[in-house]
Amino acid sequence: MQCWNCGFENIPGLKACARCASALCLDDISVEPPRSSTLHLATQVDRASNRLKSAFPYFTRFFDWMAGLFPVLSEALALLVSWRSLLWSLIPGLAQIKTRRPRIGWILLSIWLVLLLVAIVSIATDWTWYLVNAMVLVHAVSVTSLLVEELAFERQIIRAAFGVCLFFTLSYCLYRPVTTLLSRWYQPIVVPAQIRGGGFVEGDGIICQGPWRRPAQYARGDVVLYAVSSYQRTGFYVPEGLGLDRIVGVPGDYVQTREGRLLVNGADPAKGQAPLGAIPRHFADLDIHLAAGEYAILPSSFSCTYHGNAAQLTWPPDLARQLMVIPYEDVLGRAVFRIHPLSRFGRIE
Amino acid sequence: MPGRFSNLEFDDQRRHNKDEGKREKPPVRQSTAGEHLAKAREEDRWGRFESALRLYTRALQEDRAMIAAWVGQVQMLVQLDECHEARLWSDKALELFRNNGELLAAKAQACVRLQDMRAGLTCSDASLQAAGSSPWRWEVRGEVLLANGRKQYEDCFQKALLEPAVEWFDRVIIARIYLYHRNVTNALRYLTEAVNMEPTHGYTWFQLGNCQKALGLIPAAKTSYQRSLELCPGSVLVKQALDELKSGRSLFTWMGSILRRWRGR
Repeated sequence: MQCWNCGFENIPGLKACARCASALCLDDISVEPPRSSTLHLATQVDRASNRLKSAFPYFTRFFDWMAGLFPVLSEALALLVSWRSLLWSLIPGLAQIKTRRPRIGWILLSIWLVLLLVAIVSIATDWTWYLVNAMVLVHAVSVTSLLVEELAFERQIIRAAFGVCLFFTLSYCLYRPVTTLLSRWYQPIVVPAQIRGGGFVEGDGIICQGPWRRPAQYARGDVVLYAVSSYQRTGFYVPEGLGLDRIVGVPGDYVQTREGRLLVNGADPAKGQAPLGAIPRHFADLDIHLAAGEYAILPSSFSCTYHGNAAQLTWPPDLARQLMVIPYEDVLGRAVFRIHPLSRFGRIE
Repeated sequence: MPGRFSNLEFDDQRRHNKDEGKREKPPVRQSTAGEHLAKAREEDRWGRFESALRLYTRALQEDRAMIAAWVGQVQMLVQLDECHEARLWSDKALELFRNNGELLAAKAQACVRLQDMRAGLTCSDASLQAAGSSPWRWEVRGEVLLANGRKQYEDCFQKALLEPAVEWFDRVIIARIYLYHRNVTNALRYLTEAVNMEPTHGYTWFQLGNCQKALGLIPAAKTSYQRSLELCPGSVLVKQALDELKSGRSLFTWMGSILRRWRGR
C-alpha cells in the first residue's frame, strides 16, 4: 500500500511506512485538535517560560541540571523500601558487615571508630571540626558504596553527586543534631583568653555541664563556668565573657574580704573550697550576705584591664561586689573534666 | 493495489482482497473531504479561523490522510493564538506523517509564536530539507528569521513568492506575519500587492484599510473600507471600521500612527 506521506509502495500489512515511518493505518486516529481556554493559559505560560529561558540561559541550564537530578532523587526515595539497609547504615560499615562485604565493612567501621576516639580526645580544639567531617565522609562513603548497587547508578558522576548529597544530608540531618543534643548534656569549652591563673590557660579544653545537666543548686567548692557581664569604672575595664572559678559562698553564707583575705561565715575557707587563684591586689573590703539564688565567686582567675598604675588603684566596692556575687542564672554549669592538653587530662577538682 | 506487488502470492488471498477493498477510498467521500478543505481555506481567507478549523476537522473526518487539512488545523490554531495546542497537534501529526515539510513548517511557526526560537529554527531547517517545496515553508522561514532578529527574512518572503505554487493569498499570509510582529509598513506593502492581484476579495481590502488606518493614512483607509463594503455589503466589521474612521481619531491614535510612519513600521 502506498504511503500517504512519501508515496512509497509498502508491503500490505505493515503499520508504518518502511521508508519514512509514517503511519499507514489512520482509521482509529482522532482528528479533533485540543483547544485551550479563553485565557490561552498554556500558551502564555510556554511563552513566558521560553522568554525567561532566552533571557537567562545560565539560569535555565541550572534548572535543567536540577531537573536531571530529580530521577536520581526519586530513585533514592524508592530505596525507602529497603529500610533494613538504611537502618544498618546508621553505623558506617555495619551494613557491609551484615551483607556480603565484611572486610570493607570492618575497615570502614575501624576508621570511623578511630576518628571518633580521636575526635573525643581532641574535643574543644581546632581539630574537632576536621575530625567530625572526616567521620561524616567515611559514613557517606560507606552508605554510598552500599546504595549505589541497589540504585544501579552506572555513571560515576551520578555516584559522586549522590555521595556529595549524602555527605551534606548526613552532616546536617544526623551528625549536627546528635552533637547539638549531646552538648545539651555536656558541652566542650575552650578556655578563653581572659581566664588566667587557677591552673587554666588559654586554649585548654574542658567539659562542662550543659543546660540539661545543670544542678538545681551548687555546693561550696564547685568549680563552675559562669557568664561575666561587661563593667567599666574609672581605671577598670572588665570585658564580657566567661569566668571559671570555684564557688566560695552559697545562698545564706556571710562572705567577707579583708585586706586580701577571704572569710566565709567568719572563717577561712576549708580545703578544696578556696578560690583557684589568689585574691586580686587592692580588692575592696566587702561584707556580703548572700541571698537566695546568689553565689559568691571570687574573680581570682579572671583578668581585668587596668588603666593607669594598677598597683595604686583600689577596686571600687560596687564593682567588686558585682563581680563577686553571681546570680544562679549566670552560673552555666560545673566544669567536670579537662581533656586538653593531654598532659593535664583529668577530672577537675 | 500497486503494480509492484501484484505478482506476489499470499496465503490468505481472501483477506488480502478484503484489506484492499477497505483501503480503497470511495470517490464520493474524497470529494467531500476536498470540498470541506476548499471551504476551510475560503474561511481562512476571510479571517474566520474558528470556522475554518471546524471545516478542516470535518475534512479530516472524511479523509484522515489529507495532510493539507492537518497543516490547516495547526495554522488555524496558531492564528487563534492557541500556540501551545498547535505545537502539540503538530507533534501528533508529525508522528503520523514523519518529516512532512508542510507540517514541520507549521510546527516551526507554532514554536516561534511560543518564543521557542531554537525549536522554531530547527523545525524550519528540517522543513526546508524535507522533500518538496512550497511557498508556506519559505514564509515560515521568513517569520523564524524575523523573530530571531536576522535580516534575511525579506529574502525568504521573496523566495516564497517565486515558488511555482504561489498565489495572491500568500502575500496576505506574509502580511499577517508582518502584522503579528508589528511591522505594519511591510504588511501594507504585501496587502497592496495582494489587492492588486485579487481586487475582488473584500476581506483583503478590509485588512489593507486596517493597515492604512494604523499608519494614519486616513483617506486611503476610507477608500479601502468603502471598496470592501462594496464587495461584501453586509459586513458588520467593515461598517464599524468606517464609523470609527468617520467619528475621528484621538490624539494618542494620531501620535501612534505618526510614530509608526516615522519608524517605518
